[in-house]
Amino acid sequence: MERVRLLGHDLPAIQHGEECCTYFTLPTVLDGRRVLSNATEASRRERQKTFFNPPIAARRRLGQGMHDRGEAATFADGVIDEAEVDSQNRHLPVHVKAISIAEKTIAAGDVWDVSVRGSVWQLDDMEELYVTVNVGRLIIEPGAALIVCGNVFSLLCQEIVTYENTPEDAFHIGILPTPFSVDFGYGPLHGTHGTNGASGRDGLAGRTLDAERTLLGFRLREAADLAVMNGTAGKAGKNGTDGARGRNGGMCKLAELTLRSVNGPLTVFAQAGSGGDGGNGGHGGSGGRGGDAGNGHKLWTGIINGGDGGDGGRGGDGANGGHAGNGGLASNIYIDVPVADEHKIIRIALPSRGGNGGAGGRGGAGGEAGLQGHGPTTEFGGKPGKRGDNGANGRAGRHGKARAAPWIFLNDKVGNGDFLTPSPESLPAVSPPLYPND
Amino acid sequence: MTMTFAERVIKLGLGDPGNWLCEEIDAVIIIETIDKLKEMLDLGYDQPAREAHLKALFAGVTQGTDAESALLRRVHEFVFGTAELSADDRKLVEPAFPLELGVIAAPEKSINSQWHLGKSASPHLVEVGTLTIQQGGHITIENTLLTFKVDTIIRNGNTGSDNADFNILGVAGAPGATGSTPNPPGQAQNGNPGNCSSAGIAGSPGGNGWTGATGTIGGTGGEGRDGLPSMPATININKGIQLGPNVSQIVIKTMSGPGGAGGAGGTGSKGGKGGNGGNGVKCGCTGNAGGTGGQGGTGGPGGVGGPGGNAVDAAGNIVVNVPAAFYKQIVPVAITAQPGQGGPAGAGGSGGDGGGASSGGKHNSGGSAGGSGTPGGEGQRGAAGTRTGKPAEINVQPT
Repeated sequence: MERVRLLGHDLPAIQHGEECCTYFTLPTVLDGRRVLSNATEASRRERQKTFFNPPIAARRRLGQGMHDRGEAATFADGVIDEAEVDSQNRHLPVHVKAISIAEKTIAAGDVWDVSVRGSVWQLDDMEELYVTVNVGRLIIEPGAALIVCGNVFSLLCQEIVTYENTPEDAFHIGILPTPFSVDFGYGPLHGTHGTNGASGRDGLAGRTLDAERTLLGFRLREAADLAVMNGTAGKAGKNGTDGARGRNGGMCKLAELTLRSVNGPLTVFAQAGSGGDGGNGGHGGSGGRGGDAGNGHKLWTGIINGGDGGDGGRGGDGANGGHAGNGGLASNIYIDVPVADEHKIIRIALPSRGGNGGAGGRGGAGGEAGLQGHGPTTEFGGKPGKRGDNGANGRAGRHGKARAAPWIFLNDKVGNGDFLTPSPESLPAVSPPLYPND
Repeated sequence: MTMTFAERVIKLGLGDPGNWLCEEIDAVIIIETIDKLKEMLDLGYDQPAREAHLKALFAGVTQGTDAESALLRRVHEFVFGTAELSADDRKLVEPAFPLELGVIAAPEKSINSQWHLGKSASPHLVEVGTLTIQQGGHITIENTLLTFKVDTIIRNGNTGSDNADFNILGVAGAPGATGSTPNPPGQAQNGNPGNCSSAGIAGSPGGNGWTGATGTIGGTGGEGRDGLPSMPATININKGIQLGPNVSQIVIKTMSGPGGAGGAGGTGSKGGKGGNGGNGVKCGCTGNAGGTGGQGGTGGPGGVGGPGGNAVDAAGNIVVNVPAAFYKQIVPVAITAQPGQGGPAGAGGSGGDGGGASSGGKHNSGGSAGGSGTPGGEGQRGAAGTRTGKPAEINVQPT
């Protein structure tokens, strides 16, 4: 009820079973610390010791580092450095979606998505947004889940009720990533495939010179332009175009889950979004076929050899596959429960997967050689053309990097309960120090 | 004094026909010199008759003004007329020798179908004693010089076709090649696969495939070639003509070479295939839908038909020597050769195939395949040739 008042929600309505949802802003980080976090001062001090754990520390120079320091001040015991106040202020006020409800049942198979997007405030989705949920009793039926996607999340729950008969791969609370990439790119998550190059045009056929009969034998009826007897070379196939780069996966943001009583097993899952696959490079177009040559003549004044066949065109080069996007970043998750309930909490934190690099396009086949023209006898035949060279294959794009799983703290510690992580073999790009329980 | 069949073939070096082991000789004689050629084609005329024959063969015939044409004219004047050939000209014609001369000799010859003497072949010399042309029979020669000597022609029935009894023809120009059909454009870009925004949460569904590219115009049809001319011909009927029941004449027809038809415009290429719809994906307990295949591209327009070739004038006339009593039984028919028709327009290419259907993710349907593109438009007919071919003059001369 204190939280209801703090959020400015209508207590009588909530007591009558209504769900109250409001959107507001908080002018300062200190306001955020007061309204959004339920941590005690002792807890904050404990959190501060490990807040900048290796995955978080590694990104301190990125733009996200500044958000991390702001969140440390809100949910731990961090202090904004004087030198960074102006930068932090550019992200103020804090935009908050707040929900209060006395009792909430998430029916079997349903998902209660409490996320908020920037359109509520006409903000860009890249802005950091906050969700706070204040619920008296939360009942999560089998197969149901509460999720938040890419918002900083604060949950205060007096009692949470869960059931064991949930599907194996299901969870009760999901701290999930933004449904969009968090990077400086644009376009869809998976890079678009490059286009295939067009085939080269076939060469023109050579012409047999026009001749006519006379009393003495054949004679030409046109100028003896021997060049027109030769087939022309096929045109080169066009190169494929490169596959587009995959985008980075969506980001999984900080969450604070304060559960006063846990009734049943509770699985909390967190994983940032997978990186997008790079688009496949387009295949090179086939080279055009060389033109066939015109035939020679036995004229009464002499012999004209058969023409030469045209060379086949070179195949177009296959294009490079697009580089894959990296897995999304993730922030700390704090679960506070009574010590007696700690054993009921199952924490699953997975690294985010990097996307697969796009396959390189195949080089186009070289064009077939044009046939030589026949002479009056074999020795007066022309030369066949040469087959065109095959185009070069494109290079595959780089696979994206996996990103570290978020650290899930249970009562401000990482080692005091089940904390499932994937085996390093299954995600070799993630280094062992990212798995604190190993 | 007219020579007998036996005397004539003995003069050609074929021996006494009484000693032949076959009924007909069909041979190629190798002629080593221009003088030997003149001797083989000699009709036994005196000098004034040779001059008259030469004039009849080439009167009104357009001959080129280039040096080679001028040389050929002098060769004709030497071989068929009374002119001498200079030492320089003899040197110029030396590369033409040895030269082949087709010779057919038979004391009795009967035909009841087409007797084709050659097409763009070496000069032909025919020696026949009695030629019986039965129902359906006729004689044809194309773009080949002919000397045809026969003692008596017996004509029974008719040719049974549009052909005349004798057909001295050119050759139609070769038709232009059909224009090429270009390869269709590559398949359009596929729709992106769907994605999961996170585990258990469906993101964007599979994207729709892109529309296929419009096909390429068909190639222009090839040019029809100019016709090949009818060649000089001499037909000597030494004794006479016997016409059977209901036969009143011997028809000699000539037409030089008409122009070849232009090639058909190439069919436009098929339109590009639409991109496949992106597949939906499974996201834990849910998924998303697949995208629709892209529409096939419009077929390429048909190519323009090739231009028709020109007809050509005859390269020499036809002289028919026949006893005066049978003069009126020879009916000449000279037909002007026509230029070639322009090639027909190429057909439009068929519309591209629609992009492939996609599969849906869990609990979601896949996208349907894209529709086919529309066919391309028809091209234009090629221009007809512009020049007609003047036929040979058929000079029927009583002897």
